[in-house]
Amino acid sequence: MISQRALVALMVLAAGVAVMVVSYFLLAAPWGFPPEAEDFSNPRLPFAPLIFIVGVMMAFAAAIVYELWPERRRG
Amino acid sequence: MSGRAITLPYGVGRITPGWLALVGAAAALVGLGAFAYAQQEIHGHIVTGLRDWGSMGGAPWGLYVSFIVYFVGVSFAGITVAAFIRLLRLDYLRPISRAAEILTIVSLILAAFSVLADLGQPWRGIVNLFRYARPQSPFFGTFTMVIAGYLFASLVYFYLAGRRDAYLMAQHDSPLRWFYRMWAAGYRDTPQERERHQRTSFWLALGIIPLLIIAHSTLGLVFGLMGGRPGWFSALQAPGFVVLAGISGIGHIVVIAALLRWALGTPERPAMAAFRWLGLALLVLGLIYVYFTLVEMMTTGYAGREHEQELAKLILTSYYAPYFWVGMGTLAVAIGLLAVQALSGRWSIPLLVVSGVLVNVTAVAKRLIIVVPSLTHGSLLPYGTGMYIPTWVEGSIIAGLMGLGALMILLFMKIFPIMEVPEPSGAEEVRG
Repeated sequence: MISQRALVALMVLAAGVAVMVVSYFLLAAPWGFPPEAEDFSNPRLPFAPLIFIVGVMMAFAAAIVYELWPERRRG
Repeated sequence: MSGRAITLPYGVGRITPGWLALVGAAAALVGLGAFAYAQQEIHGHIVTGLRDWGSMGGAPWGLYVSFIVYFVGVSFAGITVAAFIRLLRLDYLRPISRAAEILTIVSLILAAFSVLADLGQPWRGIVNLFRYARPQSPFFGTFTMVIAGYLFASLVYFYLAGRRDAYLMAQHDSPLRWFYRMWAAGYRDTPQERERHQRTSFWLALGIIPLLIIAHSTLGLVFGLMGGRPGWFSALQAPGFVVLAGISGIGHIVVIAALLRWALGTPERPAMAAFRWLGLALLVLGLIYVYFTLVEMMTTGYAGREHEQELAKLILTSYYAPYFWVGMGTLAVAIGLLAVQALSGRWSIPLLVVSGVLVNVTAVAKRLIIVVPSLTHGSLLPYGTGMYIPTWVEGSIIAGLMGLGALMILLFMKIFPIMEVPEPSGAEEVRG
C-alpha cells in the first residue's frame, strides 16, 4: 500500500507535470505556420513561459516533499 | 547530544593564511569584473568589441556567449557524475560527489551572470524572456529551462544529499549550528531516512540525466538550427555540445579532486580508482569529440556550399586558425597523455591535472570558434566580412566571473564539508 508521504509527493509531481503541459500547450504561443506570424509568436497568457518553469520546479520539488514529509505519529 | 567545541571535518570553520590569500585573489578578480561591468553599464556595449554583424562589420556574440556555453558545459559533468555515483553505485567516486554538485551549481550561476553581461538591458531581458519566450524555442530551452529548471533540480539534489552531513555538523558547537539544523530539517540519520534518501536520490538522478541531455542538446540547437548561418547549421551541433560539455566538466572535476586529495590528508580523500575512472571518461569523450570534429570539417570543407567551404578554410588556415589549432592541439596532447596512462595502466595525478586543464583550453577555444566566425564571415547577404577582438572590459568581466566562482567554492568549503562525512561515530574522528 502506498504511504501518505509517497502519495503527497506523487501529487506534487503530477501537479508539476500538469502545469508544464497546460502552460506549454494551452498558455504559451501556439504552434502554427508560418512560425514568425504574430499569432504564433505571442503567448496566449503573458508569463506562460514562467509558469512552465514553475511546473518544472514543482516536479523536482516533489523529491523534497517526499523526504521532508513528517512521520506519522504512532499513538 | 552534547555540544562540544571540536575540530569540524575537512577544515570547516578553520581560517588559514593560504585560504585567506586565495579569497583575497578571488575577491580582487571580482572587484575588477565589477569595475568593468560598471563601465559597460555607464557607457554601453561600445566599450566591448561586440558590434552588429553586416553593416557594422562585427559580431554581436563574442566572449560572453562563448562563456555562457562554456559555463553551462562545465555544469554538465558535475551533476552527471553525482547522478552516476548514485545510479551505478560508483562508491570510489563518492568523495568527489559533493564537489561535483557544487561545481554544477556555481557554473550555472556564472552562466546566468554571463547572460546578463551580454544583455544591453539586463532587466528588460529577464522580464521579457519570462513574459514572451516561446517554450518551443531553443533560446527558451537554453536560457530559462537550463538555468532555471536544471539549476533548481541540481539545488534539490544538492540540498537533499547534504542533509545527513548537516545533521552531523549540528551535533557540535559552532556559530553556524542554526544553519546546519535548518538544512537538516529534522533529519536524524535513521535507517528509514537513509533508505528513503537512497530511493529519492535514485529517482532524482534518473530525472536529472534526461533533463541534462535535453538542456545541452537545446543549447547546441540554438546554433544547429540556424539554416541561414553557414558554420552553425549542422546535425552534429547538439551531440557535439553534449560531448564537449562532458569533456570540460570532467576536466574541472579532475582538477578539483586533485586539489582535495592534496589539501585533505584524510583516509577518505579521493582514491586513485576515482582518478582512473575520470581519466578514462575524459579519454573516451575526447576521442568522440575528435571524431565529431573530423566529420564536421570534412563535410563542410568537401561537400559544403560555397560559404561553408570559405568558413572552413578561414578556420583551418586563415584568420581563426590559431584558435582552432590551439584548441585541437591541446585536445590532442591531453588525449595522448590519457592514452599513454590508460595503455600502461599507470595513472599519474599531475598528468591527469594537466589533461584536465588542457581540455578546458580546448573547450574555450572551440566555443569561440563555434560562436564568432559564423557571425563575422558567415553571412549569406551581400555584406563585407567583419572582425571581432574582445576588449579589456569583456576579459575583465569574464575574469571577475571566474573569481566569483572560486570565491563561492572557497566560502562554501569553510561552512560545509566539501566531502561527505564518514559514518557518524563523531566528527572528531574525521578531522582534516
